[in-house]
Amino acid sequence: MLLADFGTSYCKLVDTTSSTPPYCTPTKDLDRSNLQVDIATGHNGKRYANTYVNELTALARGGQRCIKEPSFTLLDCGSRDIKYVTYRNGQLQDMGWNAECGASMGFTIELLQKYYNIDFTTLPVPQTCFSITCGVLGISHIFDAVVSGSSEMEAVAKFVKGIALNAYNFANRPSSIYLSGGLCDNPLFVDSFPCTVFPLGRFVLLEGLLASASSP
Amino acid sequence: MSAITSSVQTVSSELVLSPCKPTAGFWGVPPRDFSLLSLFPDTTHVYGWARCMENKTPDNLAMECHFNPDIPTVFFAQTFCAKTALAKHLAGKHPRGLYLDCDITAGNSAKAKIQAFLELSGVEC
Repeated sequence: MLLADFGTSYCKLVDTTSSTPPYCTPTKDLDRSNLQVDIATGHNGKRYANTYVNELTALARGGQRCIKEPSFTLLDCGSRDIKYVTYRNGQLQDMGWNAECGASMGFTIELLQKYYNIDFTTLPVPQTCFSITCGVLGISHIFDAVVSGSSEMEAVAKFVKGIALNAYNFANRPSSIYLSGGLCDNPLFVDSFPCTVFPLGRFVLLEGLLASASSP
Repeated sequence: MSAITSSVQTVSSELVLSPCKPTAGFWGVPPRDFSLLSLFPDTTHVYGWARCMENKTPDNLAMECHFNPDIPTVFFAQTFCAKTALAKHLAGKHPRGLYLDCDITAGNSAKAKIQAFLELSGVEC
């Protein structure tokens, strides 16, 4: 059974009949001519799947598979949107999906990384940050700061921390947070959260699809 | 909801509808985009200002604050409407409540939240 999380920038796939681990490929490089999967989630999932699972449902089920605690907040920071689920004592408590306002955060960070050739492992978390409401509008802060004399690296670091704080506030400021999505690999982003962060990686939604595949 | 909204054109405060055992709840004002309601099962009970309106008592706060704690309930208000404060407050009090607002029409994220909430709460639609 082929399962896929069709993200805006990256697609994550796993073949349950193969020993090959889940893998990630840029969406723009995906050969879509004969693409058909069994179960999918993500923005483009409905076009290529026999069965489609809502992204929030996939995130929640993935969280229940990956997190061995009855109470948790799981935040997924994607290329285009952010979403979270909160469980209390095994019961769904709250959820949110920010797809328009506050969006394009992951994609913008990757654009900046490539444009400025940034190694995020070397950037320290800044003391202050920009007030970011979305990735696109937040770029103006970077340009303004550079014009005012800040280094490009310092400005981008403040941008990334602003995005992390915005995502943290969106998830209702939990005392600890589980993080999924490609930004788990960005140490500046992870360390910018004002709480304990448990990065789970890119494949949590695939875990959710596995749960859907195994449920009756 | 259509029956409720059309009831404002009649003098009678009673709607003749056959009762059903509720499996989900919708609290709030009638949404601007009724397609949002198609995501709920037919056994959804309606609460909030919509019922106040049906009852010809739009300022009855006690009635507006009433909900059923035993069924998963979506507390809805239009974005920027003053009812968002009450919707968020009551969703926090409900053991299985989800606060939801959307601006004008229901976007994909709003619809996905309803679908996921009902599905993860074990509601069959």
